[in-house]
Amino acid sequence: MNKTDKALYIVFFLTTCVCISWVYPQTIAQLEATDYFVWNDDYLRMKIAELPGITALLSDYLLQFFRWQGVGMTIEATVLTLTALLLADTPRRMVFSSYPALGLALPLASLFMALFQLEFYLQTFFMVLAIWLFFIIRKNWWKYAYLAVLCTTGLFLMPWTMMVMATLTIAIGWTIQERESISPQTSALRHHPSYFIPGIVFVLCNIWLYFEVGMMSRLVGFTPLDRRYFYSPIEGLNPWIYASLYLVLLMMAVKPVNRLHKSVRYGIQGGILITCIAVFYLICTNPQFLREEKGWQLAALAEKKEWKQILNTIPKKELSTNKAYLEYALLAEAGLGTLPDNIFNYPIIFSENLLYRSNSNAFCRNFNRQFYENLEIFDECFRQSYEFGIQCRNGAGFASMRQMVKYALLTDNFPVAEKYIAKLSKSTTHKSWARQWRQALDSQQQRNRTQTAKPVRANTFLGAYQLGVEMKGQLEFGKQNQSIVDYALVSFLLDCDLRNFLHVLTTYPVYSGRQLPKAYAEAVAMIIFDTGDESIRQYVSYSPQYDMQFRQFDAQYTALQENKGAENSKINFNKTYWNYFVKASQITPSQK
Amino acid sequence: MRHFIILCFTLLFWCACDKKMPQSQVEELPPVFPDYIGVTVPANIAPLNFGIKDATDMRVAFSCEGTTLLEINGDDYIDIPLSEWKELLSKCRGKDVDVSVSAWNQEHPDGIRYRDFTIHIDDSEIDDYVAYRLIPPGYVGWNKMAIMQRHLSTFEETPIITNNENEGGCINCHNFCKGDPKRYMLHARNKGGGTIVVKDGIMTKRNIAMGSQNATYPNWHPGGRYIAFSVNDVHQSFYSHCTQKIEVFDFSSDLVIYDSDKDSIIEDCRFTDTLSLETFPAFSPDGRMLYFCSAEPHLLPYEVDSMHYSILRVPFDEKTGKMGSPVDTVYNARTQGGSACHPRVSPDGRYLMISVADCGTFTIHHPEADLILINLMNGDIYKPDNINSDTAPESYHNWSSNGKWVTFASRRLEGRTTNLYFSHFINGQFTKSFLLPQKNPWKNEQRFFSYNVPEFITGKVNADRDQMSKMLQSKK
Repeated sequence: MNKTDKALYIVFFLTTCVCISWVYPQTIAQLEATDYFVWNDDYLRMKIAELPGITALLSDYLLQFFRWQGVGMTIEATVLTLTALLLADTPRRMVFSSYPALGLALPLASLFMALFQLEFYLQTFFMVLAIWLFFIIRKNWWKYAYLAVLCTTGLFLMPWTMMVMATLTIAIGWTIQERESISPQTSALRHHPSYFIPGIVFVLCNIWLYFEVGMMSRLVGFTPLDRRYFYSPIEGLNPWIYASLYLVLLMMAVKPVNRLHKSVRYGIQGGILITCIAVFYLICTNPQFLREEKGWQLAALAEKKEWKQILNTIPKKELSTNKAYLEYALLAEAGLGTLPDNIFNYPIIFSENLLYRSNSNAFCRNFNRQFYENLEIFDECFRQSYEFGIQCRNGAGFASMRQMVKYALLTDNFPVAEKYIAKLSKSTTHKSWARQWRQALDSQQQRNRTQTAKPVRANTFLGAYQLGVEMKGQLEFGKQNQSIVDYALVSFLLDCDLRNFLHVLTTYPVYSGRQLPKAYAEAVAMIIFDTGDESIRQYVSYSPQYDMQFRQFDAQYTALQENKGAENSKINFNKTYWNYFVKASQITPSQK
Repeated sequence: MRHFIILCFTLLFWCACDKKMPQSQVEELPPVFPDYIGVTVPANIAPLNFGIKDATDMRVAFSCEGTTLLEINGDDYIDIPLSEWKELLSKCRGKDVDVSVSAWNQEHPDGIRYRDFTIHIDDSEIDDYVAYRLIPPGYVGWNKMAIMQRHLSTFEETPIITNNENEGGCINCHNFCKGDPKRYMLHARNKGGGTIVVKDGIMTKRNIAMGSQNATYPNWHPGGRYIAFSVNDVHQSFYSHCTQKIEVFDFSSDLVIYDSDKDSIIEDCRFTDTLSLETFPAFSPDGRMLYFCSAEPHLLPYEVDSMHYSILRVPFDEKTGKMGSPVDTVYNARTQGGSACHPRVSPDGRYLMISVADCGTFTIHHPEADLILINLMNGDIYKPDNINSDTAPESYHNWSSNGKWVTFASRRLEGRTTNLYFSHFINGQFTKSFLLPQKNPWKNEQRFFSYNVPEFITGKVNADRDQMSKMLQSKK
């Protein structure tokens, strides 16, 4: 390995560490948040049963440290760089030379096609390690012993497809080694027995592996039929493309060379450098990854309740095309208490779009949790945290467990809090966290001894009705705060349910002695104009300009209906409730 | 020589340390988990390993009729060797075993010996296996779930099917014909889903549905040909600020009979109309009666407090597969109160066990739900002692094949996950229930999963999981 090769490896390592953790910090944090590892019998058994189980376990163990993005990316970069180094070193172990820069091609392809998939990187690493280890063994009998061990335990480390690739590479490399060790003068080279041994061993190994997969599925853990033999560990990638590409890159890297050529070396180094730049450029500018990162960034800001920052971060132009941006913008408005003033500045129709009602993916569940947390409905926060965890590949995640402890404490569900604290204390990275929360649990238990019991049941259902009715149920139950009243009122306005809007507005006087926010004032002005019921004014107060503006709107709308409108005198009412009401009333429920 | 003496003293000291004795004694019973104090257990139960929270050392001695048979040391729990436990069970069958517990912890660094307690080893045995569904504890989503079988004499727990076999879909509602491991059924919901019906070990996939609605809660007729199903449109809603967290309810539910020989549904318009909801069918052990729950429909979930299910029964003719008349009320929710579900008749046909909550159909989510016994000989209805808890639901009960044991699920540990309990049934009453023994007893607390619908089985299910998987992934 010359200086340029070393420089290439260092560049690869540092770029992987720095560049990716710089561009995607929140996405990396989510890797830890949506995974978990605990030293617990049930969990360890579950992971080992997932073939290749040891790699799955190791991957989960390492993912704990992705809580700190820099550490996480250092781990990924280390695994990938080690893979590259082993690949580059393999021909030398076969007593040949090679172009070390080629070792980077496979890790680069892995990074490009399976970003953040540590388990896959580890599987690739073990495949390469298996090949490298074979070629550091000198004596043939040790080689046979090694192959026997590899074939019996290898499926715990890598999938069947990789085992086949590893044994094939070993067989080819071994054949070349054997051929080189036989004197060129031997006339009957093609019939020399040692020339055929690697091929025979390869066939025997793969016959054994074929049966071993089935056997392990019966004895260790059931492997679904479509993931038992030939499949692509990279989701969405055709297994043939995956296998061909990886085999070519593998062979290219471990291909022995008798004489090195400078020009070829420079060419390869240049090619790898260009590929490296291209791969990192494509990764860092991938619109889908960036969108996801932005989503998680908004979630992180909402966690810290930095509402203004959220509004500043969201690109206004994308509000109508990106639901996540719209949701977080509305949540931020609610957090700032400006939702009733600004709701109709946003492209929203129907109250059910204030949160993710029917989408159960992890991002949506996390948003829903934050939504209900702002309303202080912690039972629902617990449920959403739980559902968030369920979406994780292990059926639970560190983030969901941490959140569940918090909400279990807030809802006085102490045994459940204790259970999850105990669970998390068995992970490597939550010892002090568990101590702190156990202290909080103890003090909370002391405090709550005298508190009154909750009702067994009450009409406080969530998810059963439309949002407005749901919030009204909360108010009727006695859970009254400004945010719940606002969500109830805004929801009724969005659903054009003015009867319920007026009922909530007059029953829960959170605005008594204050001027109504814009949307409510517009709605009340419209109701009074429409019904002529002036008695409403005794419950609410708002600027008289809304009555005047509504009359203008009504005149303009009537003129428009009768095609009498003069374009130049038209006032823009686009961001008013009146405009929304007129348009939304024409939409059928199914269109909503 | 000097070195030899030092070595001897060290060894002596070592031995003395190993045999350390508790320095104090209290009259309190030990705070063991699970609570096995005073329980009656079957003669073939797995070792009753238990622990004491925060103990650093424990010593437990089991003795019978004054003779110490077994001494075990542990840290925060004891792990009794299987062979020694079996020997103890065989020697103490039908007798009381005295258990002496000493523990060392931060509060009692010199050790404390608690008051001895007894465990009664009954003469009778329990069925070899219990099958249950392991599912995440509640709400809508799931990730991993499995129908498992647990060998009750050891700690062996093996899957019958996991949702790996149907690409992560839901698997549910397992039911065995008289606990026969070669005759059972289960549903799998996903693309290519259906009902797996295994008869005499032969597996088939059926699409059992009434219109567009899939068959839901099953009960196999003891004759082995018919399966009674309720066809439910199940929904759930979530409470906030309440003790109860979830309400599961049916918008509609009907009762049908499935003929597994002809692969056809037998409908009876009395039980498929919209005037009432019928659910949770269960045949009597002689197969002549079909018990089920029935209630008038209401606007749900708003009026869930008004949903009161009664237990009815109707004669069943095994020759025709038809339900006869009259329809008899066994538990009248209107007059007797509450809402009943999961009727299960004891193997001798003398008792009916039901789970009763204040309202609704899914009692496992109702903290107030209790198990109730109805003496079918004289109509007495009573709440048995020793089996119910004050604050957690008891439900999903089932009788062992000899009728001497019951299993049921309860959320009494932490209110959220359900665990399995067992109790001995004698002369119309139960002895104190005990938690499913585990190798590490804390596993009962730490497990993420709920034990759902336990059913005794008389042997191990040897299902071909590859075949199941192929069936569940094919569209046929």
